[in-house]
Amino acid sequence: MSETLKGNLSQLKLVEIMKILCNSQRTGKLSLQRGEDTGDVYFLSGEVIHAKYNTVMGENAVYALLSWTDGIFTFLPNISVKNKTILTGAQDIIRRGEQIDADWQEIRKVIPHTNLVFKMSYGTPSEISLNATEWNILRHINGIDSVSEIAGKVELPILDVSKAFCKLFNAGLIEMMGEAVTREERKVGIDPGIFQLVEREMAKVIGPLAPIVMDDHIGNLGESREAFPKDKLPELIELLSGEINDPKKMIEFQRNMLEIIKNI
Amino acid sequence: MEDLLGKFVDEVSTVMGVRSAYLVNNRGELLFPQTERLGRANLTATGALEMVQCLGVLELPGDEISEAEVSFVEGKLIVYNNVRLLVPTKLGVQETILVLLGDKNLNKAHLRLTMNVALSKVVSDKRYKKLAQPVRIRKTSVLSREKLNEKEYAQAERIRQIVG
Repeated sequence: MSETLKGNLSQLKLVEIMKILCNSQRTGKLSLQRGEDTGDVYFLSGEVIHAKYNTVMGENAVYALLSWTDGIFTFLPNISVKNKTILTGAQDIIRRGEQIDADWQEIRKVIPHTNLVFKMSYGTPSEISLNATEWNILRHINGIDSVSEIAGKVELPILDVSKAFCKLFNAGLIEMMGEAVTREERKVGIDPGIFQLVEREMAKVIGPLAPIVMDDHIGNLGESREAFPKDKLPELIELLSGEINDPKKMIEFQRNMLEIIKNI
Repeated sequence: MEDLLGKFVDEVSTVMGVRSAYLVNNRGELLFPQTERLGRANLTATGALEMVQCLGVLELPGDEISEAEVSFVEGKLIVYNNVRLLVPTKLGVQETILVLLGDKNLNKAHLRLTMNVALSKVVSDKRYKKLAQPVRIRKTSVLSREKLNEKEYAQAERIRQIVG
């Protein structure tokens, strides 16, 4: 069996690996893996002939993979491919790759990785003129979608989108919120402990019927305690508030519930 | 009072999806916040007036609208008519409505909860309690000949005749 080359992109950047493989006239497949994301770059006698990253093929796939700062790479020699989606010479791709890598280094000073979420800033932004692309990106910034998800929505290369994010951030138009939660996480039901807290607060104002009233309203919303979506909690709180006759107690209950909502 | 109103608007603005929040009087004049506090999506003076005029038309039959929502491709405009927050101005104390510009995914239940709690803080403040009672102005007053073009005025008049 042929010898393989294996390592981590945090130690050796993709553009450097490509240089080594091209200069040593290698043939084979360079596979990259980061979590569930995978990408492949094929070499034939030192020329880059094909690349694939998700649905992207060809040169653009190579340039997209250059944004990775970590992940496992494995070079399997002597693996060929029938597809030839890249006609540009290896040295040109590497030159362009180095430029892209330099751009990413600048971007990472502001956006360490593309799984970050931004929201609009309520501060006073400095004067800025936006082009159509930047404006389009700005429209999609919602405090939920990450930089890479927005790149997918606007159908633009991640590099261009990240550059636009940097510009918007430096102008004070947007601010960083943190890591994006996955779509699966967004759908996950709320922790049963939260229901206990809500039930306890509710029991303080309406007494021992609180669990029954809660179950009724959860049912009215077409949900169950086991898989109650987080985004429906405010709606449930509103319904429960309707059960409290004393306006002062109702506001107190809502105030406590808002704290819980903020924490989840 | 400005800090109190500022806190109210800021608190409402913390709800995810709210782009900006305003207090508008029944004459369609934007009272709060001042221009330098405006968020990324701005409500213009014309927009504020037209929105109150829409509410005025809806209130012609005599019923008050408590919440109104207009959805656009890029977001939504929500009006809470029942907030009735009093704002002191040079022309006396004025009753206002809350106007919000938000994203399409704005959680309105969360917004209402936040608004209720924020409102309770304002109305329980001593300074707010000392405010004089405002003169009630009906929103239908903005449906006048000077504030509408000929066609709009004719339509408003027709509605007035229908609802008696």
